[in-house]
Amino acid sequence: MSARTTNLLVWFGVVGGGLAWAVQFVANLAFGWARCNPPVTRWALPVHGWEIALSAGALVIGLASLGTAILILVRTKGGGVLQQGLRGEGPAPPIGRINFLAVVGIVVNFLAIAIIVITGIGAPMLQVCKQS
Amino acid sequence: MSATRIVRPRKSVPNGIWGMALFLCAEVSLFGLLIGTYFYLDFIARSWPPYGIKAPSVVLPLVATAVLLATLVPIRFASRAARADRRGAAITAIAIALVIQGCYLALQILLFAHDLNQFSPQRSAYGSIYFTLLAVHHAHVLLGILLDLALIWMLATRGLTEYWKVGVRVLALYWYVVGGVAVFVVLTQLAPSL
Amino acid sequence: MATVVTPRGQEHVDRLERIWAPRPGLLGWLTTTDHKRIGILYFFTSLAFFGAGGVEALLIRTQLIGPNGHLLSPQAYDEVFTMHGITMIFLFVIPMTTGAFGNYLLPLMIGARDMAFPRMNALSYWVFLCSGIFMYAGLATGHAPNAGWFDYVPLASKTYDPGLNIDFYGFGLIFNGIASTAAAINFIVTIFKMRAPGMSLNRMPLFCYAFLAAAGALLFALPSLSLAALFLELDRQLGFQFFSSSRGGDALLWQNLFWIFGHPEVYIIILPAFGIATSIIPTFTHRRMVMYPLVALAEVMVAFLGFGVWAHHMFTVGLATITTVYFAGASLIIVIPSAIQIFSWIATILTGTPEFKTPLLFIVGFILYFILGGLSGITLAAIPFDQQVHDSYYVVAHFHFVIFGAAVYPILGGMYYWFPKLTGRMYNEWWGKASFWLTFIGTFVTFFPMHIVGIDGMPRRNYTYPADMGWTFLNMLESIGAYILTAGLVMIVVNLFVSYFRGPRAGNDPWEGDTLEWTTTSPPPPYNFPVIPTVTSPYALWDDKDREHDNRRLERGEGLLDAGHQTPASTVQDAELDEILSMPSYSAWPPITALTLSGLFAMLLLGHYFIAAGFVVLGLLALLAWHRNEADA
Repeated sequence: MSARTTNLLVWFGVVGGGLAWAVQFVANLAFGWARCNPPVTRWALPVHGWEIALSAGALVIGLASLGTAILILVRTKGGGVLQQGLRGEGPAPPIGRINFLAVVGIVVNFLAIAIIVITGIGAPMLQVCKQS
Repeated sequence: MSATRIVRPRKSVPNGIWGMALFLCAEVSLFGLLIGTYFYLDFIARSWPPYGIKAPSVVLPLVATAVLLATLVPIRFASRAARADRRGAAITAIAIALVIQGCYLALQILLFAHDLNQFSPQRSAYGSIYFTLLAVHHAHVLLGILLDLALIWMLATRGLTEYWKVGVRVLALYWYVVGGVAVFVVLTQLAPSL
Repeated sequence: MATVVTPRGQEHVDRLERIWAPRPGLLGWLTTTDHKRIGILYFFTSLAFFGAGGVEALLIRTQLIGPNGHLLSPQAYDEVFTMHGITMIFLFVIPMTTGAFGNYLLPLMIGARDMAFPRMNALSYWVFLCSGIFMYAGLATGHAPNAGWFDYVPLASKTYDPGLNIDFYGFGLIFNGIASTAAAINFIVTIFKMRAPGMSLNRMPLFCYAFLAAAGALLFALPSLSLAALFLELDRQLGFQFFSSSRGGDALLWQNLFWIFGHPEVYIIILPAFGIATSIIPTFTHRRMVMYPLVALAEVMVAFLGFGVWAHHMFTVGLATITTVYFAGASLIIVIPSAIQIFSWIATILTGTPEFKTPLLFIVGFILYFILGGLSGITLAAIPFDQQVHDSYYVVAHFHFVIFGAAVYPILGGMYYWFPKLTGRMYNEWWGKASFWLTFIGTFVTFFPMHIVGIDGMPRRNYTYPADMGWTFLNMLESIGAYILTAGLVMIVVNLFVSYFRGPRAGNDPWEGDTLEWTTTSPPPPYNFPVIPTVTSPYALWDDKDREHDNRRLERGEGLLDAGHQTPASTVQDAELDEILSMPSYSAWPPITALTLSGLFAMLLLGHYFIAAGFVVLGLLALLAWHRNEADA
């Protein structure tokens, strides 16, 4: 695996979940607005169906991203942030930096998956177009 | 100013390109919001376009956009020529792109004026967003044309220094993104007819 | 550890001094591109605006000290509270954190000699100054903006607000946005590319992560505000119909666009404060920050998630629940990165050996107010509760705890912390602590009772209240608190002012700090570092071996970069040395460009569009002249 591919995977492990959440978020907003805003029902969309589909897709990508980050953490376990010397120095880049990004990716993905799941469960349970 | 001695090629993207890339992130955000506004207003309307306004004709805007995209070819050529130290080729390529972009802009202004005769931005939200979206896009094309002119002048008077080589690449990046945005703008403009 | 300079090293230092010598006098300040001078310009300008905003606050609190107040008419009150919000947000807190602290400290912390684009840095300052004057010109001519800092339509439309008031704000915002966008680009490129070789992403000070996150958020959020202001001015000046529901527009369009900017804005306000706090805590606890990677990611995560919560300012406008649930979900989860940081700071203090000097006191105050403000924030994320307290003083209490308590306290602590570095003198510690306690008590007495009157039903943005609502006593308390707070702030300023002239000399590193700015002399020389520093950890100054290595390199004349105004650029992720950049030294074009922009916006305000176009041409010509010098922008 080339250095470039490895780097792309490392960054996928950091941003994959976040970007999946962003797409789920924007798309669901668009569907909700299209369905509920017009005075007449111009867009008769199956909103709950879309919500579930988008959340499922985002969840898959988030889990993939989390998995990638965990894999990278395990692979760089020997020399990284978790084994810092007393002065706080990590091993030389790039291993130290990759290990750091893997730790970051795991936490970020947990948060992103949390939002995807709570909104993915919550939204389909609500009555379509009821005002809050 | 000290002349730059090249010892070995750069490993990373030069600062100037980062600067333009980040500026373009803000501009893409701007266009995303403009397009978002267009569809937001679409979603709350009983009819879109409103009664009395014809849906836009499709052919000319699409052709114009294709012409703009075609100018990305000489722009890319200019970028590669600059990297290969070929100043004359770079200037010529930018000049060719400039002429075609100028024709594109002139055509778009004519279409804009024609549309203004059909319906007004002051009568409906549709008109407001339609003309604002297009005007902001055309302003970016105009800015690009001015950048073309500035770069041609700098290359002619200052020469193809390391600084201006990055300058040509920066110009190319600007046009790639403006071209990409143009596709989304025209699809939005023509959405009711597609 | 201090930099020891041998005679041979001194020769190299002298050469650098000659190359980087500042231009003397007023012209030197007007044409400067030195990030430190620009930082100082930003500091004093934003401090002046802080004073103006503070006067506006005192007018509000004096008007509200009792029921049926007569100090301000309703119209005047509207202008005062609007200007208070505008001034504090756009003209004080953002320029102070990003412009003053960020500009001055960032290159020093990353081991660089300047920002990536020094002339654009100067442009940011001059545009900020001009935009502030532009908006205050509205106040001076009796046309201050008067529809709140959030400027909702239809109140802000031409029908209900026909004068120039809103136009000063609308154009002023676009004008100010140019400064912030340029500054954001500068920060990001500097942090990415100008770090000292060896300072890979996992070795970057947390201050840099905070500023990177804030700059990224600024870049993506400002277009929303500029677009909203553009739509508003098109409606007002040319009769467009973006916000008129009778013509297919929507007043909520303004609210959405404004808050798409407005919510990330509050994270932009607080992130630099996080950065300052995470610089001060390790120094005064003599301990590395607990969970460094998590704090770094929390800072970036807050900025990112902040783009997904905007409609929590709109829970009462009648959106469908299937829409608001997404915002409520993100608003709840965004608490977690903030909580990670809070736990980390507290753990670092508890497991270190804390020295409660004045800067650390302000940071402890900051943590307390951030927790309290965050708690009231979580309650507001719950839609049913928010719908009860929306537009009441509960919200005012929440955001003042987080903006004043949590964003301004680190600024005040940071002023004390870096005072010895900037001036070479130490402030008076006794008066420092006294100023902290006075400010702390004042903040609490002013803003805590607002939670109560808010739940008791007192609405915000009202110029007075009746005597029989039961709000009188607490409002009087809040106003007294405001005077106490003012006394505390004045004490801080006086302490620093007097110490500037009479304080004892401070050395390079009076605090045994952890980041690179403490290696330089106090104040730092124009070239910052005689040699580009060696970096192997996020706590560069505690790496004695690296600092000794730098001393030896100075003596050998290695890594001096003294063939001109030079600084290194490195790769983004791992900071491998990539090229030597030649920086510009002086330029009149940034202030000239700022003046052409001032002309443009003034003409747009007055409706002289052809002259405005003329100023655009002048501005473009200025930019052309600017680029005739071949240093990086």
